[in-house]
Amino acid sequence: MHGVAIADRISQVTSGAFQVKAGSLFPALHRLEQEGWIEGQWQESAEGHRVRSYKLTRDGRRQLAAEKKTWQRTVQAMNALLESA
Amino acid sequence: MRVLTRATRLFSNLLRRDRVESTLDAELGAWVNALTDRFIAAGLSREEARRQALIETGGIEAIKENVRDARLGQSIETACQDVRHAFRSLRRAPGFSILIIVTLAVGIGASLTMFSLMRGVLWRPLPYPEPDRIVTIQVDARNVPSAGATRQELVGIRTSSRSFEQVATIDSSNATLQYAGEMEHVSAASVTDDFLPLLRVRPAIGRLLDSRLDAGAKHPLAVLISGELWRRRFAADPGVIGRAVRIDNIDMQVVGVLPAGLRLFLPPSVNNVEQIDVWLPDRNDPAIPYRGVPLIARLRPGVTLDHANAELQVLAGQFARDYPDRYTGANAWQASPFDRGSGLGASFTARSLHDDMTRDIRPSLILLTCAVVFVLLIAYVNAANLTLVRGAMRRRELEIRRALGARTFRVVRQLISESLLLSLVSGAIGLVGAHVGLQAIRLLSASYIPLRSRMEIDAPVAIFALVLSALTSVLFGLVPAWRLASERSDHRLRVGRTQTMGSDTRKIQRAFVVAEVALSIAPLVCAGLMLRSFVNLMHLPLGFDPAGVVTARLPLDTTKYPNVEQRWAVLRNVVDRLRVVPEIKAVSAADPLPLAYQTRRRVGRPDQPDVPPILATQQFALPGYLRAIGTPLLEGRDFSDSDIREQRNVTIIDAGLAKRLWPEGPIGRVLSVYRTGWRNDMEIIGVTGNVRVTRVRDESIPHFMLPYGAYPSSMSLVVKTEAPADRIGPLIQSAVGAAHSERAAFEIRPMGDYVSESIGDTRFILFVLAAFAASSVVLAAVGLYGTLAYLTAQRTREFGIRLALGSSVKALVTIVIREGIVLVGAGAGIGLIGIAAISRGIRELLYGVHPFDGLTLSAVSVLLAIVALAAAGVPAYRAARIDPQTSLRCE
Repeated sequence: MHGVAIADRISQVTSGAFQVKAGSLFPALHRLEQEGWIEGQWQESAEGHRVRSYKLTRDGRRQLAAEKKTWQRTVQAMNALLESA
Repeated sequence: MRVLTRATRLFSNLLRRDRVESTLDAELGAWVNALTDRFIAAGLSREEARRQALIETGGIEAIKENVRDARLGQSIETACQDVRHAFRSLRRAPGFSILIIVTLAVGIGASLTMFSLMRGVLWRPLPYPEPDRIVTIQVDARNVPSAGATRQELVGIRTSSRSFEQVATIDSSNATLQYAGEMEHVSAASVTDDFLPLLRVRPAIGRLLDSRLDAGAKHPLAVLISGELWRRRFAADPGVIGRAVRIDNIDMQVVGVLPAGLRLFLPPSVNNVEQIDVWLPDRNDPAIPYRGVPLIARLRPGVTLDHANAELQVLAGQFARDYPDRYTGANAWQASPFDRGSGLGASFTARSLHDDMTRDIRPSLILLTCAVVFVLLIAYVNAANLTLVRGAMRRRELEIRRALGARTFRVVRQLISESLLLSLVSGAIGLVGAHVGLQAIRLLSASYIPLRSRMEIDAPVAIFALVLSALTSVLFGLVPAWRLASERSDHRLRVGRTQTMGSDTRKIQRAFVVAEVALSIAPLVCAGLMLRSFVNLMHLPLGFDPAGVVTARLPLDTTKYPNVEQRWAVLRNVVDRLRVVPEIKAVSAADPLPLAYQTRRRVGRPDQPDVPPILATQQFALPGYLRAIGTPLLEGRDFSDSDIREQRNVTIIDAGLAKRLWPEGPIGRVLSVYRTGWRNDMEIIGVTGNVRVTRVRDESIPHFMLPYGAYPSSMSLVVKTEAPADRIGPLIQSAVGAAHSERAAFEIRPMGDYVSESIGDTRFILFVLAAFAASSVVLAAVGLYGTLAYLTAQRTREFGIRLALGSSVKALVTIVIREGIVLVGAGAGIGLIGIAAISRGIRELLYGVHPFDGLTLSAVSVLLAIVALAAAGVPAYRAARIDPQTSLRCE
């Protein structure tokens, strides 16, 4: 998935709650790439442009699962904390 | 795996920067294009859509910068930028950069030279396994120090001692190797079986020496060859074992090849070369009561030196009790009455081999290391001083950079990058300088430095250079950085361009110059003192005249000429053949040559048995030796041919010995020469002037000569000629060949070589100290000049005002010169106090000059005054040319 598509997808999935701009997206993408969690490739987009498209690597999937777990724990903890108040 | 991907990524980030950057550009371009398409689709015009897309995206450069920060190796990238910037800013000030690089390179180069020297000689362990356990055993017999052991003692210690794994001896010599029809002169050593195992040497092929296998008449003698000889003469043929060779006209059989690169490091008294070509079994009869055998041993694991020495002392007592005839002279044939009263016959002292080798040179190396520390300190002070001046000049640049938003950390980092770059360049030049320095030292001190082949620029030296450079950059780079960081940041840009430095900085600068001058005094005075010692040594009366004397070692084949008469005939033949050569004025032979390794004997008067004997050097000579070497015969006569033919007991003594034993006149008296086991009484037939034969600086040891004959010693030819040694060499060789000595003469060299070797220690110290002193004086002069020039330039306005107000040019010049003189004077004063501290260390290295030598001190003072005037001259000239109008308008 390439840059614009990723930004669109995030906005779509979160019903417009997160609008990701280039200034945040590109540094984030490159940091993930440097860590080896995603990898980029030049491809032809649906509109016929040459775009750099990213996909998760095996390392990336593992990291994602771990991050998800951490996030869920955080959310649960936060919920518990807020509800107990 | 992950490490690998990160490494490749780091690699591509750093080295394929262009590709990574163009990918980023294209990616951002694609993003903007996609947005533009979207806005066009929404109905905007193409230009408007692109404008909106760019607005939506935000600052492209800022995004790029953020992406770059996310990359691996970003800090390396910044460091590279710093270095590039440092390089550019140093290029802009080439004078400053070159001055600082030269200053530091001199300091670092001198330090590295000394470091390599100290490491090679004192710190590097000997190249044998567990070298700490290898010891030498010094034997002092009666009143002869370092007399050497007897063979009985060697065997006695080996069998009775529990402290040593091996006790071995070596006799280093030369041999003539005959193989495949070619004769070659090679270095040789005869060793006991346990000598090579003691050094833990294993054969590359074959076996080591073993007297149990090698003994017996039916086998030819065994010989080991070096790896070097094996390659050179035997074409590295593995089938060399069992091959027959002829060494000194004896048939021998190669039984083993030693590893190439084996070097022999032993105390100077063994007098060996480092690379031995052939190793022969020791064939000396243990029953000969000859003293002078060097002992080398290996301690058993866990045995300390103290323990071994305690045991050796017990053994010495035991030997004296068990063999009273050998030690206390109770037997009738034990001739020296003095021996009877001297209690213990011999004393043994074990010492670590490395300590024993370096004992003599240690004080001079320590002195030189002190001197090099002074040079390094001067270089540091100089560099700090220069950086301070430059820091003051670039204050504006740094302030502008900070005003534009550079963080203090980044600026400090920049300054440190600059000093690091300068130090590393200086360190690299210093390494090259040290290499040249070591070559020069090797060349100059041919035989004086033990272990000299172990000095080299290797990895530890390079690491030391790196550490020294880093340390240097911190020392002189942090000062301006710290000053910058500690300043308050308001209203600095407002200060004018020609602002002068604060009085603080000026004080520091002056203090630096005073320190430099003070530090340069010590090397200068030391070099001056060594120079005077050297001159004193050069002008000492040697008692012989080395000018125009060529010498050559002349081995004789003892197998072919077993008795004295035959050998004498050959010698006579060689001498007679050379005597008729027109270029040769006189020819004779002696053994040993003056200033070569000397034999010492105890001598005394037979009619005064209770007076302790005197230690004197003994020399065998042929008739005519005194005339050839130029020693004056004061009384009596020279040896004659008949003295040798009839083997008369006659001797010629020197005036020193004559004065001590027979002040009333020695001719016709009898001199007793004591050896372990017997006494020889010799009739005195002549008295010569005093000669110095042990070392040029030793004058107290008297000398006596015996006619050639009594013992089979190889002689050295002494030829007085006006032709150079390389012209005489072939003449000597052909005479030796024609006389059928069956051996080639070797070591054909002028007598002057022995003399200059004998004062090699003083020359070596003088050379190194002079180099250090010259560097320190040049550095101090540079520092003085730089400081004065800068201070004068800073005062241009002030001088302009003074001139405008009616001051004379002469008054201005006086101000500048006076400042120079005051600074040097203060430095010199402090430095002279420092001399007192050094005087103790240098005293024992001097000859005929006191550490507070008036001439040296005044010469150094005059030199410094000249340097001060010269360094102040240019700034003073500039001050004199100041035009008051320009200087006031130059703001």
